[in-house]
Amino acid sequence: MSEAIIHETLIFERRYAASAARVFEAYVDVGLRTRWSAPTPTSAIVYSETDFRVGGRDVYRCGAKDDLRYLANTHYCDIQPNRRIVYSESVAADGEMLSVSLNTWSLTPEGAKTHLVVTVQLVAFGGKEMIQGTRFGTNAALDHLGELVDVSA
Amino acid sequence: MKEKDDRISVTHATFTLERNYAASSERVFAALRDPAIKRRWFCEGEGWTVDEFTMDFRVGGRETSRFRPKEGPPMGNDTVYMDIVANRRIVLAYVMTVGDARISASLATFDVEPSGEGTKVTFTEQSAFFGSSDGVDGRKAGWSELFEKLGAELEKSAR
Repeated sequence: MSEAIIHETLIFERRYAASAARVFEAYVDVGLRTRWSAPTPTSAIVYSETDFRVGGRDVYRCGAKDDLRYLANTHYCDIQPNRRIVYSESVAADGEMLSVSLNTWSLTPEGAKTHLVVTVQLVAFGGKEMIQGTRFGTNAALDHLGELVDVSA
Repeated sequence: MKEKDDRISVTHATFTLERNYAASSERVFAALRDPAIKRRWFCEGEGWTVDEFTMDFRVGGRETSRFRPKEGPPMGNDTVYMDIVANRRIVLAYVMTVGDARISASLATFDVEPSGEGTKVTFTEQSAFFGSSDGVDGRKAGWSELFEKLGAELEKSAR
């Protein structure tokens, strides 16, 4: 293999005390998404383009608040309202591609709760850093999403 | 309710195919990059009608193909090029449709490297299959056939 391309699948699961419609809305609403996506208090995510529809594209920067060094492009592949979101995403920094991923969000209602499974199929370049970064970032974001949508809070 | 659940279900899979071609990595890459060549091995085939093939080979560019068998529903492929390293690597994302239904979303990595006198292509597909799609076996068979056609195309153009 050239230049160490690593293919990896990461699976994240959460059960939220919220309806699937509420969890879905927290993704669709870019204002809300911006709030829960940043993994730490010192990091931020800033959208310059958003177009949530099949074939649509988002463009954003993220990273430390004073150094938004990561540039991401999101392309929506499939959307089933309140049930599923599938998108591909590339992440680059300083003109260098770091990773490409296919992301599946599956939402299943369980009574008053929602079972969320996020599957990230990752192509990482230049070592395992992006795998660890994706694992850390996604776990943090999904925890924040849970705090945001939890109706019992 | 059963039907609805089937439509929502997703099956994830990853598979890899390796092929060696007796052609330079530049020529192999050209067959992936050039719209006229790619149309020949990727879309055209006996018994298939190509209704559309457009290709914009650059990062963020799209490729759209629509094709149909003599009998059966039309099929579609909507591709976005996610990453390109000239003569070495392509990562694309694509959605397949049958009729109006999306049956899968996938990432495809083409890792192209010189190997002896020829070129080794390592192809990795990471897929999400929707509902009642025939899934990974059919997809693997489909790409195996395409890589045969790519090989035939490279042999033909070498003469």
